[in-house]
Amino acid sequence: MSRPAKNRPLSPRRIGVIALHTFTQLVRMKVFYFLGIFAVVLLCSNLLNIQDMGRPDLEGADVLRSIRSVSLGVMTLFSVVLGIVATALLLPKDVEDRTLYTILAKPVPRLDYLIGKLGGVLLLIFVSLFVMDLLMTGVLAIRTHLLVEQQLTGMAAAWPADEREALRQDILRQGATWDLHGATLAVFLRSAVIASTALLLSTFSTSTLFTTITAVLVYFIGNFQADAREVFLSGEGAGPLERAGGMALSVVFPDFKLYNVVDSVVQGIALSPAALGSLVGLTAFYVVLHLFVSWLVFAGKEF
Amino acid sequence: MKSRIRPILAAAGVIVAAGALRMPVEQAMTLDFRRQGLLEEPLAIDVKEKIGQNSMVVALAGLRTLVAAFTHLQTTEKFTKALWNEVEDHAETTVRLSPRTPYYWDIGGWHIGYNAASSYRSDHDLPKLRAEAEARRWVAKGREFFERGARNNPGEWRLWAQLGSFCSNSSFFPDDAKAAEAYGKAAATGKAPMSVDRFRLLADVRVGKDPEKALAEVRELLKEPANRVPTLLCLRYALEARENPPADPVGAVVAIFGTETKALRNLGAYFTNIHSRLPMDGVETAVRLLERRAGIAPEDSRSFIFEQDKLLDRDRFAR
Repeated sequence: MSRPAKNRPLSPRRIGVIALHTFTQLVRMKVFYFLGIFAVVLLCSNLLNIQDMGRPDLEGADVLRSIRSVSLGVMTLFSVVLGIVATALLLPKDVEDRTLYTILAKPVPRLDYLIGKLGGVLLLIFVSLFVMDLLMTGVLAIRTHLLVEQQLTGMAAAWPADEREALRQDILRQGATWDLHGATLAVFLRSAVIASTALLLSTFSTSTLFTTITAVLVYFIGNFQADAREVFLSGEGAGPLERAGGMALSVVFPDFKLYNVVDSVVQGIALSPAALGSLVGLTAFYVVLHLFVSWLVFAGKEF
Repeated sequence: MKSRIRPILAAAGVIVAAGALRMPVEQAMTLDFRRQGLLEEPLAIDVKEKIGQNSMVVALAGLRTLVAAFTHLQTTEKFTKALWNEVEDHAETTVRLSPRTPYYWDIGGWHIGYNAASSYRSDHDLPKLRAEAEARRWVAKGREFFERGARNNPGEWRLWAQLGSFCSNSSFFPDDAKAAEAYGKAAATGKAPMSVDRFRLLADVRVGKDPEKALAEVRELLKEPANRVPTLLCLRYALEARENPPADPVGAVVAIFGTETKALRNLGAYFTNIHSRLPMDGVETAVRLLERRAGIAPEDSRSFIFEQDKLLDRDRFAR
């Protein structure tokens, strides 16, 4: 006679089932249609070739920069909006569909349920960003190849070898690089933090609209958090009230500005593995913290 | 009631405690990222005003370079309408949003320096003196723009080289000392091609570098086959002629250029470049002798002597 399985939390299998279910649920909401819009935007940025008027030496380089900037900008918008809306939608939808009652009536720890829900949203964002990254890299690789060929056989055909090489390196630097994948990962990490924040907010509220609006506000305030923290830490020219305000903001809100390293990568600055590692560590801290706090609130909630 | 409030209080307590824990870590990361150039300094108030409230919110929400791409499009639009003050404004906003994109500095400096100055200079609605004064003012602005770009991106040889090129340009109130300094900084990045070293030497010579030292440097550069370009070969001849006028100019030029035809073609082009501001010692004599040996009279339209006279006349008339 087999003994019933212990109802221990953090069961990977259980979390996996909930995450996959959430992923499927979101896919059915036709979220992936956004990839079509992304492809169109990518195509448009690829055609944006009006910047080099009268400067043949800069011909084409701006198109590559446009592709990088527009692609990563769209990825940021998509992931932040999806992270907020999808997460804000899940708990109220489960309550509305009464799925939540069925799940919680079974021996499913509430922590596993929350992790599974967040996992499903993050899986969806990850898959979407992965596809977008592939599209961006592909377009950049093709365009860079064409540009190198066009410049080296055209304007630079008669240049000395070292100048041709310098031009080639300059163009390649604007093309597909490993740093761009690092930037895409930073975009994903930012969306993970905002999604976990939305999850935390949705355990307090039962309205999707309230959660969405509050999460958007948290996101914008989070982009100022570093300024508030500096007011508190440096204290230069700030009164006690301003310092206290600065401290409150920096203690409560996540620092989203740190994820703006994406902008630097668009500008061609290398993203070191150490910097990326510290972002991964910080994101893990935020996600675990938000999940734990969500569980504290959600564990005793009556439905 | 008590049991409903307790988890919320516990949650708030955990958030505050964790916030206090992460604050020094986040501050250290911010400083480290700024040192690595991965994070920009906060936007100044005037930039926030210029890009408008909506764009500012977008820029602060992690889309700074995307907003910069749009303000750059506005720069281009104003350029097509020759609205130079607005071109300057938009170019300024663009580089403040994205200061580490050399392209924006390069194209902005080009619009402000070259294009705006040329536009004012050829504006027939303005009195000639006023047009020249405006051109000078925009050249100064363009130079300052290039210089700021190069200082913001010290490892970018192209921006220093662009500044050097602009300061060397005889049509834009040249400042050869500044050009030499800029080319020197471009070469110091270690990434610049050899031509930058040649341009630096030419700027040094224009400033009035000791001919003996300049000649030694020219000879050193010419050891590299890629540096054996006509201007440097001609400069070698002129500096050698200044130091010690040759008894047999034709023999001296053939020793440098290889053949009389090649010598005439290169020295002729060097001689007729009336705005080069490079030493011309012995060049006219050599050109006259080479042309005589080639059967070209000074009055002949094929003669470089004739062509230079014509260019000088035209230049005097234009002034």
